[in-house]
Amino acid sequence: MRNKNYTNPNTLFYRYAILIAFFLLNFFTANCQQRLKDSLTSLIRNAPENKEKILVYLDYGKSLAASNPDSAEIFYEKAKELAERLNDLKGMSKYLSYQINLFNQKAQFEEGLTAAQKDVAIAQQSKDPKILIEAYNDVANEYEYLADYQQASEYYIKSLKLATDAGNLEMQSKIDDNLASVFLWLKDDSLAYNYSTKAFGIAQQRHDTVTMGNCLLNTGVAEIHQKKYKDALSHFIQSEKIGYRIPDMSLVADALSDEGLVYYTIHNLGAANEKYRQELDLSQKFNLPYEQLYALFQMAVIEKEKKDFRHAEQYASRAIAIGEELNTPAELMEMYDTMSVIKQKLGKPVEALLFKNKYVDINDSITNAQIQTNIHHLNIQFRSAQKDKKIAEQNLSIEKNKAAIEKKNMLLFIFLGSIIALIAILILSIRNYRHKQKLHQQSLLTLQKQHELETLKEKMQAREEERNRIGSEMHDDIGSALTTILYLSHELKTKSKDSDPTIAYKISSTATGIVDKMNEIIWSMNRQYDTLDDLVAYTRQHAVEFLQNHSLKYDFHAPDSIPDIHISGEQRRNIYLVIKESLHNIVKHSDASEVNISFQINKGLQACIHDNGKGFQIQNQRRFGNGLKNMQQRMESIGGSFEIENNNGTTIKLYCPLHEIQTAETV
Amino acid sequence: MKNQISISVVEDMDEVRQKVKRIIDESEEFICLSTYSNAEKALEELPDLKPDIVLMDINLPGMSGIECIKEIKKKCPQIQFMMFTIYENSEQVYEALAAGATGYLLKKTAPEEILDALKELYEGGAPMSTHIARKVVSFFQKENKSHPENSELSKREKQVLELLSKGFLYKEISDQLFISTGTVRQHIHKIYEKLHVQNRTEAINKFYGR
Repeated sequence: MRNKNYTNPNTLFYRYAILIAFFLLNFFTANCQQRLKDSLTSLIRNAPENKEKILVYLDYGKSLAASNPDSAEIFYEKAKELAERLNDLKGMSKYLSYQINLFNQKAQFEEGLTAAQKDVAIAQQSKDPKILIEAYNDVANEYEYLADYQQASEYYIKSLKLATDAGNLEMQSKIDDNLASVFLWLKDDSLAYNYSTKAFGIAQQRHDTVTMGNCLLNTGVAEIHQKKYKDALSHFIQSEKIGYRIPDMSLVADALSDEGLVYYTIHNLGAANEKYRQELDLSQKFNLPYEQLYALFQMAVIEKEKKDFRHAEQYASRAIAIGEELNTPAELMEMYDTMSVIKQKLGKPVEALLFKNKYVDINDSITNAQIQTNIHHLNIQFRSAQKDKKIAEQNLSIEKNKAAIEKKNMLLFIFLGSIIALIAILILSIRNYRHKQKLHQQSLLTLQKQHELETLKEKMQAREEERNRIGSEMHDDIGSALTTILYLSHELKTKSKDSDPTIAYKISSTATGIVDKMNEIIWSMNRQYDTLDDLVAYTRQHAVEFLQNHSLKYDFHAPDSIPDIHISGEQRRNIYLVIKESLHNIVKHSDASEVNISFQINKGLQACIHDNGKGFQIQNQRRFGNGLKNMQQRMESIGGSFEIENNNGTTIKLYCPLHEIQTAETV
Repeated sequence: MKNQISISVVEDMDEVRQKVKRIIDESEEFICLSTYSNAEKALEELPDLKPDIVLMDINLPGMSGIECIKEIKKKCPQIQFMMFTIYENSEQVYEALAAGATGYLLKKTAPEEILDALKELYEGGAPMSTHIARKVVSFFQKENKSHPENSELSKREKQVLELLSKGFLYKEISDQLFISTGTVRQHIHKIYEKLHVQNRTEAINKFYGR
């Protein structure tokens, strides 16, 4: 949208209104058409005088160009006037390119060239590269039509350079195609083929069917010259189809002509003639003089080959008429030559000579030009090759720069990447180190704890071992020794009748007493017996045994189920010994006949020993005061209490606190 | 004198061993077949001699009395073992009973009472302290849990055991259960045999991982 900057809604409305109105013209009756035309012109007349209106004139003119070139020219003139008045370079340039097309249509190539050169000047002023590219291309076009291929190729290459710099693919493909056509004229088929296929490639990439169609023609022609007829024919047919699709009738006509050329070259004259006839019909119908000329001339040549000189004369004379009107020297020269031969064959020597002379005149001027063209052609080839090389070099340097930049970037990336990686590694290793330290500390702590635990265990084990050692020493060594004494005293008692048996008896009873005591110590030291239950049972067994041995009535009462409560060896021993002492006292001092022992378990252990003896006398206190004191001390040493009272005899109450009463486990 | 009860003595203390031998030999009912001062020698000879009762000390130099009982019981289960110990409360007494002994004799026992104890044992009686009773109870409870089908103690045996573990004397038990003290002793003897069998199967079960 090159006019986007100038667009305002108001003018846009006008522009579209006119275009729609014109579009409708084609679908209505003549009457309607006239009315529409009137309203259209009034619309245009009423449009505001601005740059937009220039385009309106041009668009409308262009729509008339095919059917009515003169009317088109009137509108183009109006656009030109307005552009000059508004000093609108773009508008002017556009006017010129439209005008050039019109000149080309009328084969007015000199005028076209002048217009194109003017366009170049304007384009240079406007500093719009796209306009300049097109302007150069137009100039080259005109030179090509005028058969000045050197100038044509120079301008094409100027244009191509700009298009390449601007990255304008559309123009690149068009110019490549145009260059291909120039090289065809210069008979450099391989170069022509290269340019045309290159152009086709770009056009195809851009989905530019118009250019594709044109490219196919040049490719095909190059292929004919290279004798690749099948390829050529298929390319022309492809082009013809594109022409119908666009639609571009001149492209169709050119394609048909070229198809004819293929058949003609392979001497299939019938098919060739058919194609040329089709081209002739089409060019007459759509007012394409150049194609008409070409079709007629080729038909004449075919008739001549078929020896039908009468028909050949007809076609040739029609072709020459058009050629003279269009003033195309190259074609005219050939036509004059052919006509001269035809006239001779028809027995018209004077006319034949006339045409021969015409042929020679043109040939002289053309041969000079031909030599020049050949020299220029070499020059151009060289220069275009150089240009290509330069472009390639430029591309290379760009690539190099790109590579250098990429390399730089790469280095930068690597540098940054490695820094990031280093930082990451650093952070990770610090974290890892910290984590390890933490773990280390933790493990150290657990080790310490473990160590503490182990030392504690060791201590306990050592204590246990010490206990066991003492136990086993008492058990084995002292025990054996005692046993020996026991047995020896027995010997004494029974055998030595002369000595005092009471001494032997004393030894024996003392030894027995020590063994009993040892038994008690072992009992109190063995952890397996550290339960309340065991204490009660053990006490019962020994108390009852003792009371039975002394023929005392007894009643032992304990709870049926005793909770599983831990009680230390020290507690057990003291409680047991106090009860034992009490029973001994009863036997010794109380004169009792009956003893009641009862255990109660609440928050602590309570033992009650009651006898029905004479009771506890104050005056007796001194006698066995030490014993009582000892019992009290024993109970207090384990955090308990000792009470003694008179109550129809003597009652001793013991209390020992229990630490771990687990009532839940009470069965 | 075919009715005599044959006894072997294993005891490392010379005085004690000799005295016990003399006491046995002086009696009419018993005869001392052999004496040993260590378990190794006893293990070698006893299976061939096959005495009725072996009076076995626990603490011996080298192999212990308990190990010796285990080995001999494997070969000759009919031999009866009586532990000869200073201390009733020793852990080892129970171990010996579990290993196959059917009674124990305290060394403090007056020599003249030793014969009574031996006779009691031979006639099926056995002493059992409250501690040993408790251990036996807990053993059978444990056994009962893992192998209910092996709960071989009879109701009477259980009653006797329970009373023993509470510190009741034989006489008290016989009064309470209306049985003679001899019957109480027989029950206890049976309990020892079952303890031994059960203990051995338990060991085998452990060995075979059943």
